[in-house]
Parts: sequence; structure tokens; C-alpha cells
Amino acid sequence: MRRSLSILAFTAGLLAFAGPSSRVGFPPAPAACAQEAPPAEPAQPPVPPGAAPQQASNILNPNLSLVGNMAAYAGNDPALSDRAFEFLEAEIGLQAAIDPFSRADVFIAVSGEGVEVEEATVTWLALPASLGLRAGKFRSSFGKFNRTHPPETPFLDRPKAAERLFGEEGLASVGLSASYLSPTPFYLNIDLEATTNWDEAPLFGEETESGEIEAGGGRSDLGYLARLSAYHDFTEETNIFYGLSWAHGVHDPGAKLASDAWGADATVRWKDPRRAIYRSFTWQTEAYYARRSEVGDDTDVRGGFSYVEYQFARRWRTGLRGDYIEEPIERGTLAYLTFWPSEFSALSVQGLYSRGPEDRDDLSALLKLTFNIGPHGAHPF
Amino acid sequence: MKTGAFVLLIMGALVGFAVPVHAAELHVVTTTSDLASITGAIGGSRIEVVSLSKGYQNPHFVDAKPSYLLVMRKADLLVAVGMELEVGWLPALLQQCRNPKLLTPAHYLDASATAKILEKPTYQVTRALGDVHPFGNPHYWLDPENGRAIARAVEAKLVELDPDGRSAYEANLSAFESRLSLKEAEWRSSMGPYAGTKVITYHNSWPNFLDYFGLVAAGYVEPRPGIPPSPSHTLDIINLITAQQVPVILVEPYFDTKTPDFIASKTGAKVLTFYPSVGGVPDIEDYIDLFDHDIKLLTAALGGGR
Repeated sequence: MRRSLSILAFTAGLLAFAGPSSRVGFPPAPAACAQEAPPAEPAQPPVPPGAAPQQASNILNPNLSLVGNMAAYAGNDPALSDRAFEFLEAEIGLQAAIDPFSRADVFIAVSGEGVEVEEATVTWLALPASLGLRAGKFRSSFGKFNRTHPPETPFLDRPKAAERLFGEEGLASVGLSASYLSPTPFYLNIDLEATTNWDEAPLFGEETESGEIEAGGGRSDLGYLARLSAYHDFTEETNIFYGLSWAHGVHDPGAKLASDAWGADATVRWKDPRRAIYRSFTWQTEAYYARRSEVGDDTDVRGGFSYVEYQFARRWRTGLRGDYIEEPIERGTLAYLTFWPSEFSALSVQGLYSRGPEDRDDLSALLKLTFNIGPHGAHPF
Repeated sequence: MKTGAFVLLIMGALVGFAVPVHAAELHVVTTTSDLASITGAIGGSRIEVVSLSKGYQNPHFVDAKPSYLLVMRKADLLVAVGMELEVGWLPALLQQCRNPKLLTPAHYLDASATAKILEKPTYQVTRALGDVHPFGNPHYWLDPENGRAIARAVEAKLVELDPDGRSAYEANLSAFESRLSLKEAEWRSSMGPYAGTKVITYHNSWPNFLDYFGLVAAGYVEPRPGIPPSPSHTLDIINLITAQQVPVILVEPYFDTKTPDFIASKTGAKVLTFYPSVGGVPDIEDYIDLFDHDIKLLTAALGGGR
């Protein structure tokens, strides 16, 4: 009995040594296959007789990955960091199936500001009726851009409209998210979320004198979000993903003052599958309309951004983004050139022009370096 | 109670009426066209099979399009190449397709389970080596005997999911196997004279094919798997081709032929667009055609002399 246990442990150890399971969040099916792999050679385990049973296997450890994001700044834009170099964050990802019914995805950001749980969700997969359910801390499904983790966006900064309304990290909070994939012949998905009112989002909080955002809302004040998104293939090469989003929260719970944001987004992509690794084109636009109820009068804000990105060689991409936001009006243009030595690292040179409220022109040169170690993550779509 | 039974009966009749006579018993989704071809040959008219990727696509780099979710949502079975070939796109689709069945081994067939896998690393795999697959080379379907192994695994899985079709699946498998055996003899005799021939391939996609026909990979256009050609490595390959008299450079259709063409111009080796999958060009209609096509191309190039 003990011998067979140690053979098991040894086989498992061999399997684990064969390399980390590179499947980020791969479902239980392949894991089962791994268990079925026959212990081909009756290997003599190098475990001394009478040894206490070891932990069965490293293969059940969660997939561990790390994304590093580093920046360099030059120029006179006061909205950006005043340092030359900054290590923005190391994002640690831990992902695994919890049991046959659910999986966990946890992303912890370690930065100069401390340690923060970026996302930590339990997702139930085995639900009937095309339903999906998540609980935990997650990035809200407001538009498409907001869901992307900062290191994985093409930009070093955030679009001005997204930053001014939703904060430096974007909209994220703790709560529940349900989604429903409709039985239509094309992709049509509905997301509904109820979360703690969004911390750190200027639209849903009050700015204190020190410039910090104080979250609005107490136990009974939730943030609600709804999103309808659809996808169509025009041709094999070209497709569109678009959606409408609405978020509702409070920014002053005492006075029962609400904030609302409406968003429309569209992402058009082109990629010839025959030349997929060499050429691609993306055009993404998000438009926001936000209303902040105030005593007396409401504040209405319009804003948005649009960017195009063209991949002109296997390892090179270039892009251009335009920003607009009101109250006060601010415009920006970001141009970038990114070199991808492999799909696991990228070095991007970016130029940002901002025209602020006092008709002030700011020009900055930025550098963004990201790298990814650990199992192979999914290519973003 | 009686009413309930009656309603059920009516509903059942309606559903029965709504389903066309030729409705497939099983909806099968495969990740690649080769698996779809083999699965289709075994399933025949009892199944409906759809491949997510096309034969002219690089199977490592397929976009996880939301439209694939709709195909996967109604699938009874997913057949995948495995060995991490689809690691960049399949996990994301599986998590979002709202078809929890596909997350269970009963409805998920990893076709590599019974295939002969080459190049299983015996060393510590790191990304410094490029896109090395830690479980072995995932392009194993390019050995016709692995095609047979896949067909048998598919047949067993289809019987498991649709026991009523056992005799049909068994008959289809035996027809597939005898056609394959016949063809293998033909392929071996065409390729026989070229055993031991050295070739250069763009990506390391062909170890099973080369192994089966006794060919030898002298080098790769890519300096490391997944890493684009570099000038110094290209020079090394030119020297290698000249020194070892390598007659051909095999290039998968989804790679740029600029570097291979340059190498060819310096060495006189021939560049062949070599198809790793069914549907790479329209006349490769099934798994057997795939070998027919490639072997015709290769024997013409080798037989024509340098």
C-alpha cells in the first residue's frame, strides 16, 4: 500500500517535472487526461522506505504567472508621474479549478503603493441555461477597455476620459456578476453586476482636499451595472464587437446623490488568418456620457477615446489614440510604436500630447516595458 | 397529472416533428481541420462535425472569436489536438462557451492520448528555448499511423456517446483504416527512394512526418520555435545547406517565404509550400489528400534533382 503510494507520488513528481501545466485556467478535462497517463516504466521510487507520504503532486498547484509593467517618463505633463522611471506593478496571477463546479482567478498587484487585490473571482462554470456567474473582486464590464488589465493595454497611460471618470485603475469593485449568452444565431451577451459602490472612481466618489477619492456609499448603496454586447463576423478577416453599458452608483450617500454613466463601444478587427502572425488591424472606440446629481444642478460630462493599431510586421505594432473629455475640456493624442521580441514581452515608445483646461500644451515621451512569465496565458481578443 | 402527461406528449410530438429526419445524433467540434476530417470519416452521417480553425491557419495562433462560442455551446463532443497546441485560445473559449459538458472528460477528447508523441523534453523546459511544448511536439497528426490512432480514439469516444451507432462507427473505422493502410503502402513506396534525405523546415512542425518517411531535419529557418528568423541564424542555415547538400526547404503556408526564398537564392535549395493541415488548399479535402498532396510535391522536387 505504502509502496504503491510512493510510486504514485513519484509518477506525479515526474509529471510535475515534465513542466508546469501551461494551461492558464485549463478546465478539468485535460487534468483528468494527465491522471490517466499510464505510469509506463515501473520506476523504482527513490523514496526511502518508511518515509512519510509526501504532498501528492505539484500538478495541483494553481497556475502561477507574473506580469511586470515598467515605465519611463520625459516631458512636462503634470498629470503623469514626476519620476523618470517607475515600476508600475508586478501582477501575480494564481489560477486553478477549485472543484468540478468552479474555478478561481486571483490577480494581486504589487507596486510602490503596496499590495492590492486587482481581481479575485470565483466563477461557476457548470450552470444551466447559458448562464455564467462570478463572485469576488473584478473589473466591471463597462465597455471593453475597462476589462483589460493595465499592463495588457497598448498604452502606458489610460485614455483621459476613462481616467477622469473611472480612476487610474478603471472601474473595479466587489460583488456579483451574472451573464447570459442568448440563444440568438449571433453572439449576444448580457451582463448584470451588483457590487459595492466603486471605490476610487471619481465619478462615484467625492474628491477630498488632498486629492484622494473618498468612496461614496455605505452598506445599502450598491453600484449596479448592465451591459449588452454583440459580435458579428463580416468576413473571415473582419469582425466587430460592440456593446452598450450602463453603470449606476452614488457619490454622496448622505444626500442620496447618484451618479450614472452610459457607454457605447465598438471594436473592429481585421486579420487575414493566412497571415495571422504578420498583419492585423484594430480600431476601438468608446464613448461615455456621465451624469452626477448635485444639489441644485446636475453635472453632465461627455467623453471618450478612439484608437487604431496596425501590426505591420511579425513583431511590430504602431497605434494612434485620440482622447476627449469635458468638465473641464481636455484633449489628448497618443502615438506609439511597440516592439514584441516574443509574445511574452513588449517594449513600447509612446508620445503623448495633452491640451488641458488652461489651454496648456504638454508633450511627453513615454516608455512602457511589459513582460510575462509563467504558463501561457490566453491571447487576448 | 393526466393533463401533464398529455401536454408532455404533445410537446414531445412537436419536438419530434421539428427535428429533421437527417438530424445528426452528435454535434462534434474539433480544433483543427485534420481532426474534423478523421472524425467525419468515423462519424459519417450520424454526426455533424465542425472545425474551429481552418487548414491554412497557424494552429498556435487562432483568435478566440466569440462566434466560436456559439458552435461550442451546442457541441456534444470537443476533439482537441492537445499537447498545448491550442493553449493560446481554447481555454478561453472553453470557459466562456456555457457548455459545462465539454469540461468533463466524457465530452472532451484529447486526441494525443494514444498517439506517438516525439520530442518529449527530457530537460528543464524554459522560454529561453522559444515556444517549446513541455509535453512534446504537438504536430503529431502528420504521422499517418497517428491518424489511425486518432481514428480509433474517436471511434471509441463516439461509441461511448452514441452506443446505437456502434456498428456504423465500427464499419467506418474499418473502412478508414483499410483505405489508410492501402495509401500508406503507396506513400512509402513513393518516398522510399528518398529515405535519409535531409530537409530544412521553417517551424519544427514536421518531426512525425519526417520520422515516418525516414527523412531528417537538418535545421529550421526559425532560430528557436516561434522566434522569427535572424540574420546570423539565416547565414548558419545557408552554410549548413551548402555543406550538407540539403535539397529542399519546407515552409508551412502561414509563414512568410521571404527568408526561405533568400536562403534558396544563395544555395539552390528548393522552397516548397508544405501543407500541415486539411483545407490548406481547396484540393486537400481530407486527411488522405493531405499526404497525397505533400508527397506528390516532395517527390517531384526531390526527383527533379537539384
